[in-house]
Amino acid sequence: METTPLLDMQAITKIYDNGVVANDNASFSLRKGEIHAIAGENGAGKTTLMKVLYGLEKVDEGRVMLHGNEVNITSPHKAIEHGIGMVHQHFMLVDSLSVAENVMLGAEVTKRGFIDKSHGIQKTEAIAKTYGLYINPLAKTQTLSVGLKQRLEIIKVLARDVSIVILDEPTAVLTPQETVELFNQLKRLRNEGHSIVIITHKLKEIKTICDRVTVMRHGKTIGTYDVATITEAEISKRMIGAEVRVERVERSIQGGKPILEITNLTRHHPGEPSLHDVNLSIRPGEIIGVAGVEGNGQRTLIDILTGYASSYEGRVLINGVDIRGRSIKAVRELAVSHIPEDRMIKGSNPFGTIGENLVSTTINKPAFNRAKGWLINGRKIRQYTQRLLKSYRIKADNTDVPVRVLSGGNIQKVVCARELDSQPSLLIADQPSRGIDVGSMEFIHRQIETLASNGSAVLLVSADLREIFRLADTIYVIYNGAFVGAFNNDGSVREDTLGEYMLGIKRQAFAKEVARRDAGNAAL
Amino acid sequence: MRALFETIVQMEFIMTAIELSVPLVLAALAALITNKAGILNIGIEGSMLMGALMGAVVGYQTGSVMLGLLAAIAIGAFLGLLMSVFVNKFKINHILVGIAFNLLAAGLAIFIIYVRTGTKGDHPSVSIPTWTVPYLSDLPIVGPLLFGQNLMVYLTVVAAVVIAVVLSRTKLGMHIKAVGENVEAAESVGINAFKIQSYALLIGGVLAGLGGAFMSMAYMSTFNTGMIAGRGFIGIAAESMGAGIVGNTVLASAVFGFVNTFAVTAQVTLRIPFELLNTLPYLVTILALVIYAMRKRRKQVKQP
Ligand SMILES: Nc1ncnc2c1ncn2[C@@H]1O[C@H](COP(=O)(O)OP(=O)(O)OP(=O)(O)O)[C@@H](O)[C@H]1O
Ligand SMILES: [Mg+2]
Repeated sequence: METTPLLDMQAITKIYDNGVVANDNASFSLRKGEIHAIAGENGAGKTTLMKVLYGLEKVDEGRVMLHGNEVNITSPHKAIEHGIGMVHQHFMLVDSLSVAENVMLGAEVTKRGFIDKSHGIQKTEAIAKTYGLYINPLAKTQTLSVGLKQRLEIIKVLARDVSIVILDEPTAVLTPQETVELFNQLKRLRNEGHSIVIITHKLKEIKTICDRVTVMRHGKTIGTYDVATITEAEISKRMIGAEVRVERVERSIQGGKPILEITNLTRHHPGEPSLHDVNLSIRPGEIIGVAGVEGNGQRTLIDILTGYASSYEGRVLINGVDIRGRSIKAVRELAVSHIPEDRMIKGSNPFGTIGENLVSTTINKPAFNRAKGWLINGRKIRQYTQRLLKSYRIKADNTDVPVRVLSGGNIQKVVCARELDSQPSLLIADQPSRGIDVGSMEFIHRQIETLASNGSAVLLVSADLREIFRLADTIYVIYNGAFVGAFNNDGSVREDTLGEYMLGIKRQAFAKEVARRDAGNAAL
Repeated sequence: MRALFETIVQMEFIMTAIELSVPLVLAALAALITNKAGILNIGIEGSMLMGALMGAVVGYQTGSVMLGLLAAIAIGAFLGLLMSVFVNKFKINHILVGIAFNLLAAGLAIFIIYVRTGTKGDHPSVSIPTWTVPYLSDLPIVGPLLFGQNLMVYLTVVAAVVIAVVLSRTKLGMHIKAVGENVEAAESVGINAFKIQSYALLIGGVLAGLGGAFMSMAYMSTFNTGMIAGRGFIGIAAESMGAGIVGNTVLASAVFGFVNTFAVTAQVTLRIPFELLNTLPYLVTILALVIYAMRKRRKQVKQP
């Protein structure tokens, strides 16, 4: 018995101004009170389809039925009126405003013509309480961690009394703990009668929380399936058209001097997680994974290693060179690559073209220059760009478009391509595969392994434990700014064991052990 | 030197300084509100010129100060809206639109004056009266300062307060700031960026029009095609020195007004060539911007 669905998008075609057919006769329907996943490769058109629904993009063909009636949603304002809310793939926040001001933006309540600030604060607190989404309403948005920004985005949607909630890759920036929390909140919303659309690349999440899944490929919707009757492998096969093969690259840790040596690293800075007495060394060919709950100092560690934070105690040697006082550029000149956590802020210049972004860290190389460095060699740069587009399977039909028009996963691939292709001696990878589809993720992982097998050192920070298990030789757990556990990644460590260390329930008395091990290495 | 000092502390000097600050403050406020909405409005100079012209022409023709002022406001508002359409609907870069507006205004002013008077320079105007409170304005020092200024001085103070309140406490101000900082975020919550930028440009246009009217209807009671003399640009500079904060912006404008007055007065007392003195406000602008940039840099370096 097929009742009329709550929402029915029929034969949607969307062609962007530059001729990209992002949605090609796509259909999507949503039942009341279900959690419905949309899966598909990077650039398949998932975000576009939802932007059409939310009134952010104008549809070229097709129609949208809501409660059985055709609706014409031409702006987010109309979408909100129809009870549709969306959490976007990239944050849509005004950084200089407070949390409460962002929550109420566009829906402010006024009293005698003036904004009622206390109402915004109360509303934020009320939602926080009902759904367990705790946040300080008075905090400045720019000071929030990505996890909290995500939470703020969800509160924003809930504040607008919507009945359909669209979430575009909400878990990409969340830690496993935060994901569990989010899912509990989503279930609660579903039980209250909300209908939820969630875009995700994590097939396991589809199995855990969703009722149905719609698969997209090359702008088309391939089909909609009941989650109970489809396996993860079948979903990914329909997404890609082939199965994802996991191939490991053979490699071994090489002897010799460590590439990265960190001794007694400590940093205390107000408003930022501290770091206490961190010791670590990475040898050629070695991949070290750092696991931890967001906000436990991993970002501080990376900021120091990459030159973003200049005041600290202790010592950092990269290939024997002390990086104290070096600028970000000067650190990079020691053959350091850095895949930053946020692709839109530190990772790329969204307004620059793909080519400009790809060569932004290597533009001074003689290969890209002419006339002794006075002129840029455009032809070489274009060739180089073409090569990277191909080998990293970045989906863009034109290298001269600004990076911001690419799909989220493809922007991430641009950042990865730039940082991995420069053959660094030390790679610092912060959530390298965030937002990348399963097939491409496998490719990026192989790339990182290849780098290590060629003798580079890799420091991997990731909220995705499976990524750490996949790549790391040794896993360090960071808690409250200190390493509290070190595990050999030989298959004997379990996810929940790591979890206990990540939450600070357990800790090894290992700091001395590591120091001893490092001393031993140095003696070798 | 002594003579110089004596001129500066004289009442007359201070009154002139206040008067000469008025158009700068209005221009700076216009720059501030449009800047907050994400548009650097170079066209303020042209809007001021058109405001000065319309105020003089309509005021003189009708013999009504009120109608002259309204005409100046109307032309400023119209130009602001026109700019919004060019920027938002035709997607032309806002700097280019501003430059085009300035060139057009300069040409149009000469043309209109020529058609009406047969000369290319001047047009008679009317005078906005001074507001004197009986008895109170006779008090020493505070009398003229607080109770004997031109009406436009009071209007400017009110404008500054209103702008500050609008930006910090109203829905419109909140939306202006949101659109200026992150258009996509603002639009994603249903804010209409075109509408908001139009409001900001409209308010900015009204302020610029008033600033122009002050020049032709209060500071002088005649219109001259060269009378704005870069005051729109100095206003933009003052706004950037004030870093988008209303109080600081008014203060920065007043500093420029003071220097301008000094240049005018010193011609008489110091016998320095007029041309040289006229460069003073601009030199101070450059100096101020350099100091501002250096301070900002030092602040950035200090942050670890
Ligand atoms: N504003 C735009 N202008 C032009 N092309 C665009 C624009 N936004 C997206 N595209 C293109 O449309 C296609 C679909 O993009 P979309 O963002 O919908 O993909 P997606 O399925 O969400 O991918 P991802 O998983 O990487 O987020 C891509 O090829 C992308 O480059
Ligand atoms: Mg997307």
